[in-house]
Amino acid sequence: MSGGTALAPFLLIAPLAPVLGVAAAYGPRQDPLEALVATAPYGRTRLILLRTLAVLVSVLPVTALLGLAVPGPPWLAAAWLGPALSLVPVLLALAGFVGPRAAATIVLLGWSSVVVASTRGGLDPAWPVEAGQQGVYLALAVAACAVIAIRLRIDRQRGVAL
Amino acid sequence: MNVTRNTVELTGVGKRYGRKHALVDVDLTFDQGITGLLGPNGAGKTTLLRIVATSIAADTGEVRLLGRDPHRAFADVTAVRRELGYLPQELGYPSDMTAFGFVEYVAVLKEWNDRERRTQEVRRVLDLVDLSDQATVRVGRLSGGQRRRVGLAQALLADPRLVVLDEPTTGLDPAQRADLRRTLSTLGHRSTVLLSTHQTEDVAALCERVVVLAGGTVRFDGAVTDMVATAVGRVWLADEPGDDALVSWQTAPVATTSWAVRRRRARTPPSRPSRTPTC
Repeated sequence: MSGGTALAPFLLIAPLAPVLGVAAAYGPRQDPLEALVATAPYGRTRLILLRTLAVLVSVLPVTALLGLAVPGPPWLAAAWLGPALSLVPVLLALAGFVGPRAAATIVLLGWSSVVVASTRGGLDPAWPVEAGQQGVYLALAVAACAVIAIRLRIDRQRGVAL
Repeated sequence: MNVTRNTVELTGVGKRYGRKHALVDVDLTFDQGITGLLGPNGAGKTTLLRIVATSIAADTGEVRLLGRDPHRAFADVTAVRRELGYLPQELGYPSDMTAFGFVEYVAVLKEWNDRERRTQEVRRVLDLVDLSDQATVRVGRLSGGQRRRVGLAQALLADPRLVVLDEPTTGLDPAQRADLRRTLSTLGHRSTVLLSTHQTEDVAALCERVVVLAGGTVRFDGAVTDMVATAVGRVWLADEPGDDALVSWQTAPVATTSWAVRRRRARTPPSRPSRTPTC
């Protein structure tokens, strides 16, 4: 298998792994104690962020090791972390409006479109994670965090934030 | 001037889901003691309790809980939640958790950070609901009534000043309901307890006050004895829903007994021999 052939599936899946893990970690359908969490002083937001951290801690090292095995330049093993770490706050921001399942679907489709479009467009297979694109992911992450913060200020007293 | 605030103050509270009005301009105050919420399905009981439990926000009106406005600031709603015990109508139970583990998890969410104190508190509330001997049993292996008592145990953590119980007696057998009544009546001496139920016997046995909701509005608010007096000749037990009953509902899954309500008619009870006036 050539480096380019292996790279596209890896870049398609690796950034989505933490997103799917986080989406599965909370929400009325996934968490049977949602009704209690929403009214507990510990705070739903704190719990979601704690679970997000737990997912990242468990998923990222495994995926990073997998990245080392994928043929390509050495920086690729870390470069996918850019989209991965920006898609998670995007998921959390979207989930506040449409719920975790729909948010995960939107993020999944969005990221898949980027990878597939770059592959079919004749671009370098590593294009989605090249340095030029990392700035876009950073901007996306900052925007998502801002949306989360604004949403928190508006909604957290109601127990419906995130 | 010494101003005394009620534990719960709802002023002009309204809530709607899409086009459906769940609550319309509700004015209620609650203080120490047990208040029962009665009403048919869709009357707004659960919506009212969820608003008081800070689970959802009212669309209109003012809500004050324990002297605080839960919509004003995060600190206010957190302070309210520290003194709140809430048993939702539908509570999911992770089946692989033990009864102790389940209540302990909720205790963590309620910021019982000291492990030793938390363990003591969990044991105390499990004892209150008579589940000490089932503490190490997985929730998935408990009966429906036992699971409901586990749910009640978590609501009693930390002796909350405000206790909101949505149909706490669902799934309990008569003996368990009697035990629950004893637990709640003790709680009502020091806390504000709001409970919704379809069991009128529970209201009669437990509550000093009853609020009847229908169509999102308050239809009755007063002492149980006053409500009974209001219903004389208009509510009766029947073996089957009669033509002259405007509203009737069953009291058991395989019911031969129905409650029937007649309004705006003569106050004489129906003449069928199978019917028994309840008041």
